[in-house]
Amino acid sequence: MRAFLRNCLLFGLGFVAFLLACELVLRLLPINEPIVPAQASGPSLLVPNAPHVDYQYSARWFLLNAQAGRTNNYGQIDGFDFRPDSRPLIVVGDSYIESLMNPEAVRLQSQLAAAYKVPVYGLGVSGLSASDYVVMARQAREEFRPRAAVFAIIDGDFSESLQLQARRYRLRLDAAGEHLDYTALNPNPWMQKLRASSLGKVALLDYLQYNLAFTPSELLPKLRTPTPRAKDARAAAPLAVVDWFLDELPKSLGIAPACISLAVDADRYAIYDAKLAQPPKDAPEVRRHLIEAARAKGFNVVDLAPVFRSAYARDGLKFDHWPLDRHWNALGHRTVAQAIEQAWSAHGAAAACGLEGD
Amino acid sequence: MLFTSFDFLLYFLPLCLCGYYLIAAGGWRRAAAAWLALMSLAFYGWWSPAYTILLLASIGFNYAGGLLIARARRGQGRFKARPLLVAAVAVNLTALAYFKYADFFIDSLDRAFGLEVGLLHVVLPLGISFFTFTQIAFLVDTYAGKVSEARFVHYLLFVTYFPHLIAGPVLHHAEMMPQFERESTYRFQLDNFLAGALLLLIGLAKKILFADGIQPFVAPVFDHGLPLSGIDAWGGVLAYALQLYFDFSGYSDMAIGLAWMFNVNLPLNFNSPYKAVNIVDFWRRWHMTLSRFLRDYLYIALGGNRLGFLRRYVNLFLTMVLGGLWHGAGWTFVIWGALHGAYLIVNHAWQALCHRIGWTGLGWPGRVLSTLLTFACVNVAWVFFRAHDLNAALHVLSAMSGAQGWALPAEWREPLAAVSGCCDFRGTAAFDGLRQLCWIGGLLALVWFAPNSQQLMAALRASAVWQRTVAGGQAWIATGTVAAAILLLAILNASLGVSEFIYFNF
Repeated sequence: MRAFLRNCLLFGLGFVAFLLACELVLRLLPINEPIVPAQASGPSLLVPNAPHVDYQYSARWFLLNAQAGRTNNYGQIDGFDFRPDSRPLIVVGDSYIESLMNPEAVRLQSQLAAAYKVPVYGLGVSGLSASDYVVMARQAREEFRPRAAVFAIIDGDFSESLQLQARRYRLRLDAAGEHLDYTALNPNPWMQKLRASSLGKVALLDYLQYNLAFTPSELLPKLRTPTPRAKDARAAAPLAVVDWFLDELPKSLGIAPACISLAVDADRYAIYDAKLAQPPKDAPEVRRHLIEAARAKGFNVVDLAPVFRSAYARDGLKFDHWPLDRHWNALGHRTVAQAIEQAWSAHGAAAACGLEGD
Repeated sequence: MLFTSFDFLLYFLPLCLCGYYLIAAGGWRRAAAAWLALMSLAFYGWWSPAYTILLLASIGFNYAGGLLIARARRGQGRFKARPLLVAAVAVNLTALAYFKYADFFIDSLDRAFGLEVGLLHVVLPLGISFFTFTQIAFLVDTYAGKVSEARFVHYLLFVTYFPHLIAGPVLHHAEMMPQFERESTYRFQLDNFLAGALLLLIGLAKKILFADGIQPFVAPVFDHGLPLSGIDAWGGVLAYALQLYFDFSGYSDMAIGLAWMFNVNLPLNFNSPYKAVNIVDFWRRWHMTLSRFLRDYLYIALGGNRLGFLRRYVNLFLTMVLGGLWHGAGWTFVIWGALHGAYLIVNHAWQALCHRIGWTGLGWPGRVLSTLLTFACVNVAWVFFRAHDLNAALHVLSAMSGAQGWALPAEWREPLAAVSGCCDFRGTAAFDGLRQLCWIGGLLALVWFAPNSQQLMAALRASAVWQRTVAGGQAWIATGTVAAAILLLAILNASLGVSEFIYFNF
């Protein structure tokens, strides 16, 4: 029995030694360390992360697209502090605008900042959808009084706005009007403090959780044939959600539709080759209706499908981290920025919206 | 249940090991073998309980067939041995033909004669090619008087033994039965256990890190019918050659490692096949147990090289065509086998010519050249092995020949501006540039220059460090370290989604 216990102890020692070795190695590598979330002080999307903290990003087990940086005073990943009431051009979106997989200099907001003489603030948070964009617009209006805005509209933004998701707003439309339900996530403050401290940073745990998307429940036995991790079932977004979105944006921001640019992304893989087309998350009629209705209401709409198509036909260069990550790469951001600039300069909107300075 | 899954690594394997060694520690060796057979059946049944009945029926039939043949050989019983053997083999092949080839035959007849007979849509039972071949070999060896089996439990374990059941190695009865009889097989041996766990870890790494890592570069070339340049096509085909090698040799390492943990030795299945200097050499290194089976039970049965050089080449060709068909019910597999048959004929003819004129080759440059030529030929054949149909294969081959040009990734235009005049930078449809180049280059360096798993393990087990480790308490520390590494790889595997082994399809 003593020998058995001794062997178990030695086995455990070897097990722990390996984990410690992994921890040491991973601390030297650019693993995906999540940005410390903001203290739960209310359902604010403007301040998604703790201000002035370092972050490090990479994807998958082989640390794809590693980047590092520091959040600003609003917990956004732009490398400079935002000023209240500074009348900026705001760029709102989800992970495409957050763009953790790209260096700051190539992001859409940085490229627009180089083109215009006004501050440009990137308000990108992974997982946001159309309902969150409206809330973000309302909160940004209170805080910054923006003069113009760009929204990056990605496939799934409308169907996702009907889903419950932690720290996000779900939209319900009924006879009584709109209902925006916020799902709070109140992390244990002690755990948050521990995780934020250097003592609480366990690189191996971060790697397992964020690079490998591992959850301990996966270790439980499955009494069936395993299937690939299923994507969330999405409800089809009715066109009424699009109409609500377009009605709310100008009111929420307090600016004319002509100063609001909607950059509507396209299935870029289908542009590279029709056989690579992906089934859309939002129905094709949602995208079509968005573009037509937004143009009819006077928004500055940039349909990125023809933009990407002509650029690809000309240069043959891809706009994303194909085939492993669909997010825009540096060329994708540059192409979108140029398309937005062209759309604004075409009708003198840049000057009318005050983007050429006060 | 996949060897890479949590279900297998965290539950099935520990339960199987504990039960086996606890029962064996009580002195009940046959019960321990029965436990292992029972667990192997559960392992198979996890996939499809219904087909476990088919497996058991096949085992029962062949065991009875073996007994009858053995009795007939001794002059007992009412039947003669040869008709019994022919009947038993015919039943096995009929079952295989029904489950694996029925729809292929019907489809081929439909296409040839427009019969419009509906397909049967028979589900292919997992591992049927492997357990059928294993048992045919047993019947033939019994007929030849090489083996005779009296214990049903041992026979059941020989066929169902979970490390080899689904994708080989294809076993010889004679190399397994003595191990199940041996007393030391049932005694826990830390040396074997640790070595087995280490080989399991190597196999997992090959499958999860390398095979699944390079896999994303394969599908765009073979599955989407994209317009391909030469770079696209070669990039996809090389990626597939490496994926297949690391997938299957990884599986074989896992199988051998798992068997070691139970003190059982399985035959080697790979010996650095891409280092082969010719096709004959390649088939001595690739899927070695299948090559051995085809040689012993098909090529030699057809007459081998005993009937003159022309008949020898016909036999070689037929053996490889049937070997191709064994892999899958499709004309692409037949062509793959036929190509290798043709390669082997050319290779043997060339060797005969060299022997006649007394030419001994070009030394090491010649060996490098012949290795590269062999590798290129193998890659051309892999196109048929991987493509869904003949048109897809010809599309990829046409691109490999350069008929669609050699366009380079458009991203390379700027860094290669100095040579922009002589290169085409229109862009590639499937080739992923530097990243894919690094994957292919890195894995080719491994297969060409690194020692293989068994060389690594042999060197390690012969080393003084290993001897000291096994003799002292460090062996348990090492076992804990290997267990943690296996767990980490399993988590990594889960992050990639379910990825079956390619040879599960055969």
